Amino acid sequence: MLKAKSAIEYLTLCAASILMAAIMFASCSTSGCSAATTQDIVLRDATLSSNTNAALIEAMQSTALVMYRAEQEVQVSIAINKGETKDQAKSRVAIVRAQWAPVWDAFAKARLVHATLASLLASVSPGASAVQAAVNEAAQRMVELQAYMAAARSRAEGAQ
Amino acid sequence: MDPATISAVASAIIAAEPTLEKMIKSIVASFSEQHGLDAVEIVRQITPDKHGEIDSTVDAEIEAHTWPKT
Repeated sequence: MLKAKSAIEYLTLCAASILMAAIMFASCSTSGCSAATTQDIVLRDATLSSNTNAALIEAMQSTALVMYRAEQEVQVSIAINKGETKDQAKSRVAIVRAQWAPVWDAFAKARLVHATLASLLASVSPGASAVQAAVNEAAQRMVELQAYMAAARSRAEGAQ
Repeated sequence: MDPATISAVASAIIAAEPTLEKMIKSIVASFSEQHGLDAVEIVRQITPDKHGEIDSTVDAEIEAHTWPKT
């Protein structure tokens, strides 16, 4: 069963994500502008977008993991309280996992898109159009993730 | 922990998530403004979600419990 200690660990993880987001961003940004060309502006905006998305994905993942575990623990508790068998408990947990499978796929895709954009930005002379296309792709993935998280929140709230 | 408590803890975290998102965006916006941002370094990797570890933990809990046979 989910122990209070585990819940606290996850809460700590969430708090750590906020700090990490701030630290990552601070450590990954430098000041000092020169005369900016269109290319510079595209790359700067893409870098800002990429770093922001990375922090947001980390934070969303932490929240999603808490929700994922809580949903499974609730189903195990219900099975115990109703005097169900182990197979019934496993079936309950399997339903939760099936609901979450597309969410984990979406996170994996978002991480991949981020890695692609980060590699592009880190290359010697990234093309502005390729960078912009990768930024757009990353933005789509963020919208998809936010929709999944909203759906999971609604499901959790509905279970109250 | 009983289901109601688990739900309450999860709800509190879920409720905090939009605030968390706003907070991160705010940190980024504020930092950019203060430093005239010209970011050249990039966050290369995002930590994998590790949901498989949660599955293993829950599976172990199910196995450890004594269940009715019928």
